[in-house]
Amino acid sequence: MAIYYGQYGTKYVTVKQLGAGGEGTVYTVEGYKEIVAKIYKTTKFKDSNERAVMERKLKAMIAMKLPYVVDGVARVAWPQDILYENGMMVGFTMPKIHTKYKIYDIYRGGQQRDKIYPDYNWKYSVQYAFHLAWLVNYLHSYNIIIGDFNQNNIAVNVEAGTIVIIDCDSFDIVDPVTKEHFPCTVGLPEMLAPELQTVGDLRKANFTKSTDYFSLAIHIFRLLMDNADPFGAVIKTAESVSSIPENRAICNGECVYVRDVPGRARPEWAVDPKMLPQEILYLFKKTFDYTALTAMKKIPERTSAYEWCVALLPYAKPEPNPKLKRCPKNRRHVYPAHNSECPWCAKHKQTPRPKPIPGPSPTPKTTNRWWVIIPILGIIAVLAIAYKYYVYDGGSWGGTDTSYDNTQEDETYNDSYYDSEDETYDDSYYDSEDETDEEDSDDYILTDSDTSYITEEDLESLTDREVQLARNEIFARHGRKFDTEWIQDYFDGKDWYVAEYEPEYFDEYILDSEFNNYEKENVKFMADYENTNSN
Amino acid sequence: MFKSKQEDLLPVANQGERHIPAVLLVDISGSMAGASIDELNQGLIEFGQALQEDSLALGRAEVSVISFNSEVKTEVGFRPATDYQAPRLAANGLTSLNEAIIEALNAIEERKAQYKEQGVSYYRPWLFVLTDGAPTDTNRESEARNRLQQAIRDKKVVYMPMGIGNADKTKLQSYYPEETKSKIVLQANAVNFREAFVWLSNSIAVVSNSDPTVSDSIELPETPSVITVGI
Repeated sequence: MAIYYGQYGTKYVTVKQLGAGGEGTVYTVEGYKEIVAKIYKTTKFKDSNERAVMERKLKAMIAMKLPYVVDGVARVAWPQDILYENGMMVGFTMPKIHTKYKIYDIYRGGQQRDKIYPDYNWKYSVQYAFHLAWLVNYLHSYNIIIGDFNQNNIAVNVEAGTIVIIDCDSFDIVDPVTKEHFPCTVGLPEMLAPELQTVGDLRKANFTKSTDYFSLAIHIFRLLMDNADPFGAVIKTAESVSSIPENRAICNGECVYVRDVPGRARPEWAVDPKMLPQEILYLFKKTFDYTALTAMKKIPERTSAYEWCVALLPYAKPEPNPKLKRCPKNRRHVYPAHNSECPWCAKHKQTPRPKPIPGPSPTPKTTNRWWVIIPILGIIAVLAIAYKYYVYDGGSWGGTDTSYDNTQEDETYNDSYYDSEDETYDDSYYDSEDETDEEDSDDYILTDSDTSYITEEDLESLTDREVQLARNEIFARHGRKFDTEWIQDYFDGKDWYVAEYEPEYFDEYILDSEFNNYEKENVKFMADYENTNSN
Repeated sequence: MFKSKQEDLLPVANQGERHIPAVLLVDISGSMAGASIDELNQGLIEFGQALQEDSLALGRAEVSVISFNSEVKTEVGFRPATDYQAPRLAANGLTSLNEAIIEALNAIEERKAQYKEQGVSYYRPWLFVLTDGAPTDTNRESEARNRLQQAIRDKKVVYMPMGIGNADKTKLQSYYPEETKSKIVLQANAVNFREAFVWLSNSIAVVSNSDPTVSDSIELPETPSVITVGI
């Protein structure tokens, strides 16, 4: 709790710390839901002059009255008031941005992105690329230069699908009244244009719209190219990497995606840039196709934010969109229509799926029986509900979309299949782990469970655990992931298994359309069998 | 090349981003028994917490934990920080700090070879050494010291010694090259780990890509410049 006063004497009381960065800490403010306070660290300013400059800069920004909300959504955390303590400027207030996600959560992919968007596909990235370009163009139209345009400063509003820039006090601006220029003085090296790489001291650097265009192109590249670094490459020559300055690739324009660079090759895991529509690839070329010698000359050629907007918009439009295709094999794979084959499937083939190896167990597994008994009680309850569900469902799997609409039902369904039974198996699983490892990694428990109806005879020779795995094997064939760790681990060990879909997503969108009648019946049959045998 | 002891290492994630490999070299010798080993285990947990708080770093850092007493053992092979789990360690035996340093430098080289093969860029690797600082494998001390000093000089590693309990600070400082001015020894706590990661994703005022002859005149922060707390 600390008290500060605004430019016109408004009292602000900071309450809870929301986050801390290198130069300051952000707090909630008592009585203001939509405002937060950023308080600078005492080390931020070397002397009173630096502090005075920042105070004038903040005043200038506030005087600019930038409409920071557009179409009902905040686009920048623009300063609203200056905070003083004993007459000294110590920070400022800004609109609260209600998101914890950053742009790298979108371009990184993986679990985090699946959590945000279970139905994520490439079009989402295109939309964010469009919004980012739009925002840069918007700020430039007010003669605001972002300067330190790095991924830490770019938040994503995942509900609106828009971009929010959160660190405005480093922007490069001109006071609309006094015409005093407040330059940007910091940057993240990996995002900087070649002309800034060689400056050394960024306090003397000249950030421009063109330097923003360079960083913008890197962000868009990462979004569209599955988080590849446009300046990353496999170094084929025998150079001592330690002698290479950190961002030499940017200085020299070593972008293997837009030109042939001697001694450099595109990493195997990276997607082929030919996947991109020609006009988009051309825009990357305009920005990244240069050498150490031509870098300066080619600055004016860089793709502007406006050009990006125009080029990206057709691909960001909702489906049915003639510019886009959906992969016939995997409905989550969306790509530009000129591709004859799915680029995401091709990437998948190229990069062998990493096989997780269980790490060392930090603490011995508890053998306290309570942990076993409680889940058992849970299972009995869940199975009872699950049974009811089957009756309700009439045993039919086809066209039952409506029955999944009810979340309650959905959860029940989920739990009964995958979630609750695992704890009871904990001990037995760890005991038998070695045995599992010795199994042939490309075998199935029931090889024909997708092509014929299985019988009780097939199951009699199997242990309870194997029946459970056999049932889940049907889901695993289609690439469903599993919430239950040991089941996931088991299938991860199979050569044929490709973990592709989050469980919720699979059950919602894939299951009905992908399972054939054998599979549907067999799942039900085994579930019933397990049910009967466990009682 | 090197005989890999890092058998359980996991594949590199987010290959398009610049990685920061970090080795935590931890002392589990007999002299650490009692309060010191608790402090160490707590430090390993706090390291994980500091990572969790910085989502950019979490997607870029790679962690390996190597313990040493009479033997040197890879507790956690290199893996994406998202997969890091603090091991719980018990103390006994001698203090093979020197062999451990050699092993850690080897492990770093090995991981770097993987990065290069895959076209993954990386920051200068971090070597955290958490110890009370009284090595018993003196026969390997000059080898370990020479290699570490050379690695620091060649900018191949950032050495971050962290004292545990009544650490022998002078001993830990002796692994810095003689010419290093501030031979910082830190304490293994959440604050210091967190500061290290803040440094990783912070915007900075000075970049180091100019002509090497020019950049030598610019004083660059060698270690996270914000860390100044000694013990």
